[in-house]
Amino acid sequence: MRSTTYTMSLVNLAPGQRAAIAEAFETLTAECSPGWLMLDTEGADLMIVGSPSAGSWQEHQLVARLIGENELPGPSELGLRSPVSVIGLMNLLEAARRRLAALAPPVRSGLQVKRAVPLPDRHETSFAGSSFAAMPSEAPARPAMAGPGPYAEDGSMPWRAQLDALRKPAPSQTSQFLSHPAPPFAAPVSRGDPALGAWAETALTLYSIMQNSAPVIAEISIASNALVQADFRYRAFSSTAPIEELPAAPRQVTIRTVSPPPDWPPSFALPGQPLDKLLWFVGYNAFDGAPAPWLHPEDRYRLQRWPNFTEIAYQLDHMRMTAMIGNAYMNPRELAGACGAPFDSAQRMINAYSLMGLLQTSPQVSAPPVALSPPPGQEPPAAKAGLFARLRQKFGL
Amino acid sequence: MAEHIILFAGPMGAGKTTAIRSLSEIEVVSTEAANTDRETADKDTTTVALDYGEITIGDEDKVRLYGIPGQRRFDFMWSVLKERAMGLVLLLNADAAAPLAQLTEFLEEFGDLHRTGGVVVGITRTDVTAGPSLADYARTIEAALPGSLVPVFTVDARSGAHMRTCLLSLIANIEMRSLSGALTGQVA
Repeated sequence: MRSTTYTMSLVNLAPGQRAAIAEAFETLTAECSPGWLMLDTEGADLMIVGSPSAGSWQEHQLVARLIGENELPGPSELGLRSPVSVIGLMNLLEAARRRLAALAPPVRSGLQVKRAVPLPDRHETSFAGSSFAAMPSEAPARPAMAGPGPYAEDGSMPWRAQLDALRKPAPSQTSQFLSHPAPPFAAPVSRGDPALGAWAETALTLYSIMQNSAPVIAEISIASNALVQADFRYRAFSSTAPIEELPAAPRQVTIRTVSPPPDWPPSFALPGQPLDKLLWFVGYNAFDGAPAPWLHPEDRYRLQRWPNFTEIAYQLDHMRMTAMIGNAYMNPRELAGACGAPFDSAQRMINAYSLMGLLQTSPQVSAPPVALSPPPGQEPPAAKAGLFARLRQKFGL
Repeated sequence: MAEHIILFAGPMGAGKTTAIRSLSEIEVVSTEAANTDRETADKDTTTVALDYGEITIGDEDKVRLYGIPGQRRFDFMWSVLKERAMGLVLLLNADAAAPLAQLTEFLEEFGDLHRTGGVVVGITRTDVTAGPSLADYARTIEAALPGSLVPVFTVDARSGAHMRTCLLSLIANIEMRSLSGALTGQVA
């Protein structure tokens, strides 16, 4: 499975510019496997800005400026030529990918898993400005783009086949889930990536919404099983089937979002079900036990707030692990070792909690690994001793 | 046999007696009297001394569940029991007039139990009224006990599953805090 490596964010761009870049992203997303995430965070690897003085960035961050036809980017900048095209965006991402890959890993702190500081213009555009882009990591090596990019429209480039596919007309989209007339903003359609698990694309989209604090409505279709409507304005959702009965590995999951006008009514009868219940389910079942793409595997995490365990479908191992990261920073491997739980379960829980916005990340990104795991075949003492374990047995859990 | 004392505290009408009945293996011993304070809680009776239930685990452990009266005029009972308790289940009813203020009041009284053992907060009657959000409760706890991370759940005191979740999370938090303390030197 390929994991997403890099993140990008749009800063101080006019609504029209944001929309153009987002549209180009969407086109890539529809045709390629994820290799980039677009998030609303100041900690992204690549910041696309509207002017040279748009902000102050860390050493490990790359800055790309939107430039006019006859303009050149600054000496330390990358450029994205306006009007934005899919090809231009691909060139930029490839150049950025190569520059980032050349940086020593410890230098990059990467994306911090916390609620991002909202960008000043985040409410000026539709949610189409916060979606995901994709870039195959096996793209050919190219020099950093400052002028003409490596992907030309002459059919000679290895991405030609994909570019041809991009030119196909987009399938028509119709809204089915609202009982009200469709909101004015068209919503992107995301498709599950089989390599990441069918819930992966949904998790990525929900993560972006959470990071944006975006007041959107999302519709999730699970193959032919169920339809879920999530209204982020009310932190609630509704489902045609009990969420516990949704398949952990469905054949296909489709998510689409709409950004309703301010006075738009709820899309289902309130109060609905708490959004955390949906986020837990999606976060836990996405990514097939691998780290969520927005997480760095060796980062350590600590709980900021307990989830509501009477609402989510948890296992008792999760309760012990939750208590542990309520008291100490740990990465999933350390957590599994300390609590005598399967690593897969620890990683899935961390994925879910990060999606739910319950974690803070350790600033000690490069701290040495801690070996807490017991010898193979042995449980740590805490897993089999103690009142918790005896009560668990007593309750038959 | 090791004895573990768990207190159930909270204002009148929060569901302490019911919660203990949901957990106890024995018939709960209750000391109830007619409720003369209908304005605070609209119920016929209220606990005036203690509720008592227990869970026995083999020959080794006995978990004693004490429900203490919610009215401040019985608070002399609180100090007697909290010195021996390992943890507290604090129940608050969401439809109370000022549940966040009640939370602060009880944490002021029982905050030292969080330091010596553990506390879990259960919010009852959320089906009647939404009341403050769980995040609101968490912020109130943070203000009362800075740096503390106390589990807060919505609960139905009549549900054995919900009350087992409260009890187990309380015990898990106490045990994991102890274990994490032992590991701190390695992890920090």
